[in-house]
Formats: sequence, structure tokens, C-alpha cells
Amino acid sequence: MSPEEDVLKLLHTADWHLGRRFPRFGAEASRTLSRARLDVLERLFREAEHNQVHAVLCAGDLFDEPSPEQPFRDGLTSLLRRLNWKDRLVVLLPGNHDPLLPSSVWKDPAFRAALPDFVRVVDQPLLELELREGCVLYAVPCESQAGQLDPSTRIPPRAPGDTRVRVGLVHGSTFDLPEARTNFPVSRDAAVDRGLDYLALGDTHGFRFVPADRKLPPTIYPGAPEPTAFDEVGAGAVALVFFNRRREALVQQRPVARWTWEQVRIGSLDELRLFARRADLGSRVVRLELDLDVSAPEYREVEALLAQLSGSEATHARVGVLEVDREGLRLDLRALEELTRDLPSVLRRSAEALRDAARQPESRAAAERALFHLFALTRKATG
Amino acid sequence: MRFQKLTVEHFRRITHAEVEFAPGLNVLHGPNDLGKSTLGVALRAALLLPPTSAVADSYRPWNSDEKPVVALTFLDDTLRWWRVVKRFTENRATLLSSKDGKDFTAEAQERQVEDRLRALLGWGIPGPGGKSAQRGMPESFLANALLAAQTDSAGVLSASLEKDPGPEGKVRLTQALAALAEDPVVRHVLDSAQEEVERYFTASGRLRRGQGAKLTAASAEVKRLEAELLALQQALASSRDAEEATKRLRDGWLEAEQRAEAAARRVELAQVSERTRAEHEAAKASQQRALAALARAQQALERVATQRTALKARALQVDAARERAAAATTRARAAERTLREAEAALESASREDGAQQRALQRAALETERAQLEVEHARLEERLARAERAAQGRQLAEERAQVLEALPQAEQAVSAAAQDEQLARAILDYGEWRAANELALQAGPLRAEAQALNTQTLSWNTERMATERRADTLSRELDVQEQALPPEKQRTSLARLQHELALAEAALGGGVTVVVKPRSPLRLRSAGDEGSAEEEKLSREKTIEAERRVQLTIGDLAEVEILAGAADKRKDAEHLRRRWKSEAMPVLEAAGVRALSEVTEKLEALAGRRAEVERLKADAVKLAQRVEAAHENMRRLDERLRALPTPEQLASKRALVGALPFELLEQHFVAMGGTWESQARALLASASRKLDDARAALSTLRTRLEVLDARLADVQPDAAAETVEQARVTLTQSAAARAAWQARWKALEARQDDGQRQLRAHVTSATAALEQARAEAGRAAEALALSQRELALLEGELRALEAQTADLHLEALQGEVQRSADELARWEGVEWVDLADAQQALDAARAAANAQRDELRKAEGALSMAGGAQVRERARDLEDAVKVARANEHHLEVDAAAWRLLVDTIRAAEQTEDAGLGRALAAPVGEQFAALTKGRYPSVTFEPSLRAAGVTLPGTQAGADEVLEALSVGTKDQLATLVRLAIAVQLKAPLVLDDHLVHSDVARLGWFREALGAAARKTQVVVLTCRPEDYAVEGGTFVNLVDVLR
Repeated sequence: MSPEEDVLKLLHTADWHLGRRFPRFGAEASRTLSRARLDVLERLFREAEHNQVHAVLCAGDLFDEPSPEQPFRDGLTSLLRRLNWKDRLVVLLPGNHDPLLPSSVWKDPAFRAALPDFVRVVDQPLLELELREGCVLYAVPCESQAGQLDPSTRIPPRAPGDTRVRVGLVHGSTFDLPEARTNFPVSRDAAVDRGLDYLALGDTHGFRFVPADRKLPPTIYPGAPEPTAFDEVGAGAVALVFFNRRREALVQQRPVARWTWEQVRIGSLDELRLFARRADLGSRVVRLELDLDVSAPEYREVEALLAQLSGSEATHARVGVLEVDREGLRLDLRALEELTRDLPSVLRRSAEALRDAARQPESRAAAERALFHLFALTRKATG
Repeated sequence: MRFQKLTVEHFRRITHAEVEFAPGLNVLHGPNDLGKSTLGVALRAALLLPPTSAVADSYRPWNSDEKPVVALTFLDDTLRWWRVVKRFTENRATLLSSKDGKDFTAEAQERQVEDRLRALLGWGIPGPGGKSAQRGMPESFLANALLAAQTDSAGVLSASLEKDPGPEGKVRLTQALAALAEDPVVRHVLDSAQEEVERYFTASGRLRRGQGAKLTAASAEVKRLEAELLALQQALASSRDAEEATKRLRDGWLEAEQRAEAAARRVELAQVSERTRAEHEAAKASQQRALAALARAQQALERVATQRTALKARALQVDAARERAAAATTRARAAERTLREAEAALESASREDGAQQRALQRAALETERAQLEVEHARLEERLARAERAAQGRQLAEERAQVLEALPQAEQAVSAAAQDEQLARAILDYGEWRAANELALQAGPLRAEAQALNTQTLSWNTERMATERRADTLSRELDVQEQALPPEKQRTSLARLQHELALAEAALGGGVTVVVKPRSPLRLRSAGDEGSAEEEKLSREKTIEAERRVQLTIGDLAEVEILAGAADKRKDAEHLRRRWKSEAMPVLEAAGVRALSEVTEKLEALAGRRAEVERLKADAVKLAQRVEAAHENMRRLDERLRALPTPEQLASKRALVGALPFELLEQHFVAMGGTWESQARALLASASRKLDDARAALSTLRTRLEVLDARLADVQPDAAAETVEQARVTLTQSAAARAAWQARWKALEARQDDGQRQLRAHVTSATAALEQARAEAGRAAEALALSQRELALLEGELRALEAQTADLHLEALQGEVQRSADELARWEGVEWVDLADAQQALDAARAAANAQRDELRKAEGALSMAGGAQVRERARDLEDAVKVARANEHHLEVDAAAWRLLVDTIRAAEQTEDAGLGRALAAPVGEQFAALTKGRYPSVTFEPSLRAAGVTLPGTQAGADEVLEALSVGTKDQLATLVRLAIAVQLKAPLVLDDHLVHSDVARLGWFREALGAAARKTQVVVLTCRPEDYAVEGGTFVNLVDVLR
């Protein structure tokens, strides 16, 4: 080992949530996003290989529930078996979503038998594991879905004269988070108190240091490798950790996610047109919030653009996963007379009546939609 | 609607008839007066007339008393079967329905039958009863049009919707006829909208909820998600309950633990109480002793004062006695002189006879007197000895008391010395212990200082390295930034790019080119920027692109089709050119292909700049850390120097002495944090006590010495008689001396009778002398007595003064105060019973253990409750429910929109002037023109559908006049056309009762065709005596001769 060489290299990840469903998006999109959670692991392990890490630490919530469906179990085991690693460890830690219960996947003999030798499941209250010479890992699993005890307190403090690199691996909430009290609360100073050089955490889905201003010894949430919600900041990454001879850890955030979750507010038709022309929509999960007034012809264009974006039975969607909030889509009624000038009087009279109804809050939505239908049908009838 | 079967019994001339109707044309024929029209009346009565109506009286059979009964079976527009049975002149009516025409169930009875029937028909006849109820056979426009009696053509043409008692007929007609009046555009819109309405709604106007309905899937998804959410919320509630229970139990457990700790502290207090109780008792005894000593001292001093007062009084008495003794002595000396003078006279007189004998006798008596005097002096000496002996005994007794008190005093001194030694040792021990603890910090402090020093060096090194990195990176970034376009230029280019994007967006999207080759041709086509495809085209091809399509048709032509309006394209092209000329060179110079890459580079640079700033900030922080570390090191050094040296520790250790450390540790621990002040107070108190004890011992020893000295002076004679004995002996001596005096007098009396006077004189002088001497003696005795008493008192006073000489009242009062102060240490101290405290501790621990067990159970429950996991899933599901509801709402709005659109258009149609009239005029006018071979090209109707006029070209007469002038036959034909049109539009059955009796053969033939056409659209029932006039293919002919009885 040269003086510049890192004494220990780790890839720290957590919150894979394999088997997670996304009911808000409907069955097909939910399936797509569920599959993505397994797909991202390929990139994650490639990152580990590329950086020649000594171990991959997986800090809990690897499955979304204690007993995930078989395809997700098989997906993970076959992926791990393909790796065929000889000198690199993978440590799998049960979290609060997939705690170490008697009925959990971790106690399933078939699943365990399918795991390759380089994978270690933390299936005892405290696992002490030598990652390499002079580097030791202390891992504490979640043994229930909720708990009030700080798992890091099971890690023994650094003994006098112990100069090894000491790494902790636990799953829980630091006290700066809501609902931490029953979600395995982890002291923010646990790394310092237990004499650790790095504390690998899992639970929240965004990458962050705890506390934000303390870089040494690092206490890190790497976040979920694929985001699970729109409000997750810093999700979609793993942490690469390099220890020097002074046991100082340098942490790098590496993006691995395929999907980017994005909420977009559309305030004008031009904005919608521009959005529709974006080239990166295929890998986006987008919530489109419409907040615009459009004329009847524009309304039609809006519908057409939305159809383009969301796809149909015959056409592919331009956006990976799209959710549209139409509450703010309003029909501009000011040009009605001009638009209805050449219509038969019955339809003109109908349009006026619908316009009046659209001015009433209780009937606005239906009346605007009816007007849109009226214009669409009229346009079709008149060519 | 379609009639299915009519059964008539006991109805006017018909005893029984049963007619089954077919769809389409039904021709019921028979000769005149057979009862054909009666069937028509029965049909109308079955549908419209209440059984108890007065009109029904005319239905009574002509040949019996039976009640007329009519039963009519028909299908409604939804193909539901209905059967109405009325027994007239009685209130008997039943309405039944069936889905299959076989099993009927009752829907209404009696009066309700009319309500339901009229609602079903929708002909504008309200239910019976109420102000608008009609008497007789109810009438309305539609009832008249569809079921008009024979030869009522004028009634049909003049009928008006305005006269209808209810609006239903107008509504139905409006709905039915509206299509006739509509503009094709309106028609298309309405038909399309109606199709959509029918996709969403059932015929009865309810939202479709069946499988495959648009809303069903959305609603099912909402329900499924809501059910899932509800289950999760229940789990969440359980989880929250478990969390609450855990929190509550944890608080309870902590409280119980606090109570147990309090009980433990109380036990410790009780243990301390046990240890200090003896000390407290000793202090109390000490106070009592001090109080007793003070009381004794005060009593002694009071006795001294009393003694001094008595001594003063006795001294005054001695002075008085001395004066009296001196006066008596003076008087005795005068009496002696008088006696010596009388004796001299007597001696001179006695010298001649027996002076010698008298002298001898006198000498003998004088000798006796001398003996008596010696004896008296000896007795006085004995008295003095007795008095000294008494004083010696008193001193000896006091000495014995002092000797008795001495050991106690010595013991007290010893005890006080031990207490003082213990207190001093506690203080020394505490100081040594504190010093020792301080000394123990030396190691960690040195290690800390060393670590800090190492850390400081490391930080300093890191700081310098960080500063170097920041500097290097900053220079590198400066170089990179200079290669990029400046901000003003970037802003300008961004604006240009945005304008270009907007211009392209404004072009709209979508070009569809359909190539329909008339003969095979070679076509090369390309859409937008895509690659061109070349093919031989023989069939229609559609090419779609967003902006642009390029076609090369063989060698004939190249066609370019561009999307968007010309001016928009021009704008876009202009902007593209500007982009090429203004932006591209800049981007190439910057080594990028797009402006966004410049932004990305800038963002990357900004990110790296931030890194520089971070590095600088890190360096500053490191410098601050170094500075802070130096300060800490200085403080550590000060603390180290302030720590005690080993020599100081050894010295302090030596001061502690030989007392066992365990004992000292117990005291030290019992004193707690205020050990030093307590120890010092204890030492001061013990020192005071020791001083007091030593002073008391010293006083006793001094007193003993005084007593020994006095006893040495007194030399007490144990053999000496008592004072009383000596005084008795002395009194006896005085009596002997008095006897001698008597003998002396007798002698003198015997010696000289002659000298009697002299002798008497001598005697009297002697007596006087004796008296004077006696007085002097008494006075001397009194003086001596007083002097002795005074001496005695003085002795006693001296003894008392000697006793009290060592008494210091203030010291004793100080001792009392000190003992009170000592006792004050325990003021407020609760003397806790150890057993009680231990019992309370056991109970508190048991309670805490029970609480802890409960908490463990609750924690166990919580661990299985789901916690954050359930919360996350619930949040996901809540979002999903929101989205699903929005989707459902969107569909609901869409459904409501379609229905609103249809309703609105229809309402608009109703308000259109003459809408209905125009609607009816179209088909009727067309038919009437055909019937009259163009003579009357059009017919007009009022909005109420009353016939308004007939057009007759080439005449000055008004249309209404032409109408009036039509022949009866033509009017019948026009009325029939109106009824046919209405029936067809309503898809309602039409009953015609010999309506064309005035028509010629030609028009009858025309009508046959028209009826055939109408009967293909709706059911037509013709009652006629000339069935050949209706020989239409597909018609059903019923000979009533076979039916009616």
C-alpha cells in the first residue's frame, strides 16, 4: 500500500425499497417505477466495481416490506450472483421496512441460500466484521418495525489505543427529523460518542450530512438510489467513502438514478409548448400543474399536447410518467362572441348560456368543459 | 311505445273482444256498426279515463248489468311490458309491469294507476285531482293527435300545445321534433353530444356504473385505494395508540424511578440520621450540662454576694461589740481603782488584828483564782482548736468533692480532644482527598494537552494545505471562466434563444401530408430533420412531421411543406439566422455546442467557486480552531500548574493522622458537597468544647490546690473535741470562777466586821468591779464571739470566693450558646426512621419495576405496530387517493359537461321562435306537397303546432285563408299527415279511425305508401271498413267479425 492509497474504500447505499408500489400513477407506471428500483442496483454495483471499493454497505429498507414478493427476492439474488465478487463484501442491513422478523425475507432459508458468499446479512444484534486489516464494521439491524431505542448505543465505544478505522452501520432517524422518537432514534453525535470514523445511516431518502456542518467524522444518509416521491431532495445517489491513513473519511456523492422526479407549473400555453419540446422527458416522473387561461382553440391545443405527453393506446408517451393537475386550467371566455359569430343561432345561444354557467363557481368546471366540447364538435362539423 | 294486446268486455255493444297487435301496420276491419270505433274508444279509455269518471257510464253494456272492463298490454320505449286493467263505473284499476311479458307484478292500484300511466305516456295530461284536473275524457295535443276519434280532422289541425294542461307533451314533442328543425351542424353536435351522454348515463339519467363504463374503473380505483388507505389508517391509529401508550408508560416509569430514587435518598438520609443521632444526643447532653453548670455558677455567685452582705453586717456587729467591750473595760478599770482604794482603806484598818491570816486566806484565794484563770485560758484554747477542727473538716469535704469531679473533667477533656482530633482529621482528609482528585486530573489533562497539541499541528498543516488548494483552484477557475462569454453576451444569447424557442413553438406542431398516387411513382420523403425514405408508391401514404415535410416526387417535383403561419415561419427563420451568426461563433469559441452547455459550465464553475469559498472558509475555520486550541492549551497549562505536587499531597496525607480512612470517608461522604464548611464548623465547635473542658479541669485543679493549702494551714486535729463541747467546758470554768468570787467575798466578810463599811465599800466596789469585769468579760466574749463569727464568715467568704474565682459566667453563657449553636446544626433535620424509609424504598422499587414491565410490553407492541413504515405508506396512498379522485372528478365533470351541453342546446332550441312549428312544417309540408303534386308546396305551423297556413303559389290569398279553403278531404289528408309525422317522431302508436273516407282513389294510393313508410318506423292501427285501401306489404289484417262478440 502506497502512502497515498486509501486504507479503506466503501460504497454506502440504503433505502432501495425493492417491491415498492406507486399507486398514484396507475398500474403501468407503478410497474415501471417498481422495476426501476431493481434496475438501479446494476448501476450501483457497477459504481462499486469501478471505484474498487472494499465493501458495499447497504443501510436498511432494502425491501419495502418484511416479506416482499418472490420476483423481487429473485431479482436481487440473481443480480448479486452475477457479480461474482471475490474480494469485495456486500453487507445487507435490515431496516424498519424490512426488519429482522422471524417471517422476514432475511430468515427465509431459500433466499439466504441464494445469496453469494460475499454477501453478509446482519442477522445478529451486533455484527462486528473486519472489512480489511485495521478496519472494522459494527452493524446493528432493526428487529422490529418501530422502536424507541437508539441502535447506535449497541456499538462499543473506542477503546484506548484502538487505532483501527471504525465504521458504524445502522438504520434510523436522527433527532432532527419528525417522528424520530419511535423510528429508531439515532443520536446526531453517535459517531463521536462511539468513536467511529464513519457512521453509515439509512432511512431518509435524500443525501445529507448529519449534522449538516460536521464533515468529520461523517454521519451520512446516502438517500434512496431511485427517488420515491416528488419532495425528496438529493435522492438518487450513493455515497463513496475513502479513508486515508489518518482515518479521515472523504465522502463523494455519486448519482445513479435513472428517474428524475419533477413538479412543473405551467402558466401559459407557450410554456406548455416549450415543455412538450424538452428532450429529457423520457426519464422524468413529472407532475404537471396547469395554471393558465386559454381560449377555446387553445384549449384544444392543450388537450392535444397533453395527449402527446401522456400517450395513448396507439402512441408512446413522451414523458416517462406523467401526472396532470388540471384544476388550474381555465377557459378564457372573452372572445366567445367572435368565436360563435358564424354558428347556428341555437349553438350561439347555447354557448352564451354555457358561458353564463361558467361564471358560476358551482358549475364552472362542467360549463367550461361543455364549451370546449361544443367548440370541438362544431369545428369537426364545419370542417 | 307499442300496443301489444287489447281485451274488452261488456263495453257498450261489445261483450268480449281480444285483439293482439303486431308491430307496424295493423288494419282492424269489419263492416259498419260492428263496433270498430268502440274499440278505439276502449283503447282511449284504457289509457286516459279514470274508471269512476261520469263518462264511463256511457260504456255500460247495452244488454247486461256487467261492469265494462278493458285491459291493454303495451311496451314502453325501454321495452318494458305494462298492462293496465280498468273496471269502469267502479273504482277498480290495476297497473302491472313485466320484464318479459309473462310474469307481471302490480305497480299501482286504483287512483295511482292514472298517475303512473300519464307519467309513462308523457302526453301532457297531469294526474287526476287538483285544480287543473279535467272532467270527462282528458285531452291534450298528443292524445288528440295519436288517438283522435273518427272525423276529427279539424280538431287535429286546430289543436294547440298551449291548451295542454301539462308541459310533458310539449317537452316530448320538442325532443322528438327538434331534430327535424335542426341545422345539420346543430344536429351533428347534438347527436355527438347525446352519444357521449349515453356513454356516461343510462336512459333514466343515472350515471352508468356497469362494467366497462367510463367512470366505473375510476370510481373502483378510488374505492380500492380508499379501502386500502382506511386499513392503513387503522393500522396507523393502532401505531399511534401504541406510541402514545409507550410514551405514557415511559413517563410513568420515569416518575416511578424518580420516586424510587427519592426513597433511596430517604434511606440514605435515614442512615445518616442513624449515624449522627448519637452526636446529636451528645450535643443535647452537652447543652444540658452547660446549662446546669451555668445554673450552679449563678447560684454560687449569688451565695458569695449573700455571704458578703452577711459579712458586712457581722463586721458592723463586731465594731459595736468592740466599743461595748472598751466601755466595759473602762468601767472595770474604774471599779478596780475604786476597789483598790476601798481595799487600801480596809487594809489600813485591818493591819492591827489578823492581817496576816487574812493575807493568807487572800493569798489562797488568789492562788485559786490564778488556777481558775489558767484553767479558763486552757478552755479557751480548746474552743479555738475545736473551731479549727470544724473548719478543717469543711475544707476536707470540699476537697473530696473536687477530687470526685476531677476524673469527669479529665474525661470530658479527653472526649473533647478526640472530637477535635476527628474534626481536624476530617478537614485534613477532605483537603487531602480534594488535592488527590485534583492530582488525578493531571494525567488526562496532560493527555488532553498533548492531543490538543497534536491536533493543532494537524489543523495547522491542513489549513496551509487548504489555503494552497483554494489558491490553486481559484487561479484555475479564473482561466476557465475567461474562456467563456461574458454575462451580458450570455444574457443576450439566452434572450435570442428564448425568442427562437417561442417562435418555433408559435409555429404550432404537426404537419400531415397525405400522398394519394394516381399512378405508381417514386417518392422520397423526409419529415423534420429525419433521414429521407425513398420508395415506390402505389397506395396512399401519410407522412407526419412536426414542422417540415420534404417530398421528392420522381423527377417531377420537390415539395417542401412547412408548418405554421407564414409570418411565424418568417420570424422563426430570421431568428435562426441570427442564432447562426451571433451565437454559433461565440459557442464555438467557448468550445460548446449549446448555450445550455455554457450555463452548465458556468454552474460547474460556480460550483467549483463555491468549493474555493468552502476551502477558504475551511481554512479560516481551521485557523480559528488552531487559535482556540492554543487558548485551550494555555488554560490546560494553567490548570496543570495549579494542581498539587506529590510533596504537597504527602504533607496533606501526613496531616490526616492515624484515623481510619473508612471512618473519615464515611463522614466525608455524609457531608456531601459542603464538606469543607461543615468540617470547619465541626472543628471550630470541637475546639471550643475542648477549650471549655480544659478550663473546667483547670478550675478544679486550682481549687484543689487552694483547699490543700488551707487544709495545711488549718492542720485539722481529728482528736479535737467539738466546738459545742469546748463551749460547755468553758461555761463550767466561768461558773467555777463565779464560785471563787463568792468565796472571796465571804472571806472578806469574815475578816473584818469593823471594817464592814470598808469592806462593804470594798465589797460594793468589788461587786462593782466584778460587775464591771463581768460586763467587760461579756462584752469581750460578745466581741470575741462576734469576731469569731466574723472570721468564720470571712473564711466562708474566702472559700466561696475561692470556689467562684474560676467561674466565668460569660464563658459558661458562651458554652451554653455554643451548645445551642451545635444543636442548631440539626435544626430542620428530619430524623427519618431507617426501617420505614427502607420499606418505602422497597415499595417504590416494586412500583417502578411494574411500570418498567408494562413499558416493555408496550414497546413490544409498538415494535410490531409499523411506525414510520405505515406512515410512509399511508402518505403514498393519500397521494394516490387524491390523484384517483382527481381523475374520477375529471370524468364526472366530463359527464356533467356532456349532459349540460345537450340540455343547454335543447333548451336553446325550445326558446327559438317557432322551433316546433318549423320542425313539424318540414316533414308535413314535404309530404303534403308530394300528396298534392306540388300544388301546396309548404305548410306552416304556429309554435304551438296549430296549423297556421298552407302556401298556394300564384294566389293573393293568405296562407291561413288557403288553409280554411281546403276541402274536407284535403283537410283530413293534411290532418293525417300531421298525425303520422308526430307519431313517427315520437315513435308512438297511432290510431286512425276511417280517416280518409273523403279521399279519392289516387290520394288513397299515395297514402297507402305513406302509411307503409310510417309503419316501418312506428306502430299504426287503422280501424276501417275498407281494408283493401290499406293493402300494404307487411301489414297485419284483423277481421273484427272474428274477434268481436
